[in-house]
Amino acid sequence: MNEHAATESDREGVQTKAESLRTYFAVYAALMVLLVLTVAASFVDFAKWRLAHHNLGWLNISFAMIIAVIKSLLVVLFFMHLRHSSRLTWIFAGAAFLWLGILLTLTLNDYLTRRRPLYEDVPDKSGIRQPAQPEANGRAQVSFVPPRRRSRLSSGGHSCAARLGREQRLTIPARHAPAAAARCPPTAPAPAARPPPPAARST
Amino acid sequence: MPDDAAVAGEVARGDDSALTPQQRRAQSRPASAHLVAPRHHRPHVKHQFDTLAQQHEADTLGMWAFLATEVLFFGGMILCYTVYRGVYFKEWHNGSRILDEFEFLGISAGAWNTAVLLTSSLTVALAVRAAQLGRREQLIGLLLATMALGAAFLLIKAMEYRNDYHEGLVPGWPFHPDPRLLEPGVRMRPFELFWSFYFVMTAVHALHMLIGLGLFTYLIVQAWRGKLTREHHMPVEIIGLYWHFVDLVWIFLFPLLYLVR
Repeated sequence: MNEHAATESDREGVQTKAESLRTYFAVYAALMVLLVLTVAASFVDFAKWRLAHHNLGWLNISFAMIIAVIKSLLVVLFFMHLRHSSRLTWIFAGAAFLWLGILLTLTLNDYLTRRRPLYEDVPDKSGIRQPAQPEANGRAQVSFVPPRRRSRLSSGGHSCAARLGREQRLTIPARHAPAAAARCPPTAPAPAARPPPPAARST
Repeated sequence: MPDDAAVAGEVARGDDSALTPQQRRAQSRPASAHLVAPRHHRPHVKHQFDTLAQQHEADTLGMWAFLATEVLFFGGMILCYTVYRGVYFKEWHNGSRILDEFEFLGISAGAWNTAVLLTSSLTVALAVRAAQLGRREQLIGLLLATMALGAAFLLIKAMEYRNDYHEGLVPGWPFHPDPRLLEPGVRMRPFELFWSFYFVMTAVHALHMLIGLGLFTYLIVQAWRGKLTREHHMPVEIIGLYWHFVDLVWIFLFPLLYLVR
């Protein structure tokens, strides 16, 4: 096409992609409703539900992801104007998500269908004692679930570590772990949370 | 293809059946064709484009090509995260719970951030509309609102990071979480891995937001100088596409990071 035919399409080109205000606000309202929905669904613990002895825990992630996909479709179609874009733009956008889909499905097809979980028996070499096991100093932390922490803007201290106090921290370097375990057998009731003695540090 | 002399004869007789569609289109010029300014009088149409619409199309396509690479960039990270989510579910669940419990006014910071970012997406969409309609003051105001919302997002994120640091949840040498934060059966190394994923993904996202804020500053300066007109609104639309994409990434990061159940 040459420049003589430019006027009409120039005028059109400026205007074609503008949505009405009402559409934008409707899409925004839908997005916020979906956000509330996804947060609300996260409070439902589907793992406690049973359907003919099947665990329904997978419903949580499914709901969250379905809502996320709907939200992203709204954003892409209306806010990003893909709805009014040319077919070539659709192909470009579609190619991105097509390849993303290939990446995700082919990889997860492997990892999600293995019979045993990977790395389940890899020992924890961090040197920090595992809280699942009884602590060497006899403290019962195994089933302790901390209360809900608060941010600074709401009531309560904002840092759990700060509230508990410095002396109750239980981290020791890796090289000290065997010595500390030997010094404090699990049966002996030791005073709470002390740094390892200097003798252990030299070994 | 028929030769020119034959075509000219057929057109003169009013029979254009021998013409190709392109030739036929060229024949049917609008009546106002002589009113179109020559190319060098249309400053917003670069010389390699015939029309403004064509130029807009090329701009949009280029941006979508870039966004496609970004989709795969974030997609790779999300894929790795998802694979490890299946492997170390206990640790992921625990870390996600700790994340979700940092809250303002009873709503977790992640949900606040999602709301803030969705709102900024709306203001950007409205800013693009204002630019398309050539409303300069409205455009500047909406861009400023967007920047304020983006800054609010980063502020909330920074407060989260600060809290995580004080809790000893930053991977590497500062990593020393209180064991009482841990649920039964949670191992330290996979737990640290969760926080590595969390910090890398959110930091890369925050970096994109910072770049977006810089681009909006550029747009505001351009609009202030009157460089963005009804015809030349494409920078707003392109940067708007970028911002919507950043919003899109967060739409997926929020349930993945904060809502592991």
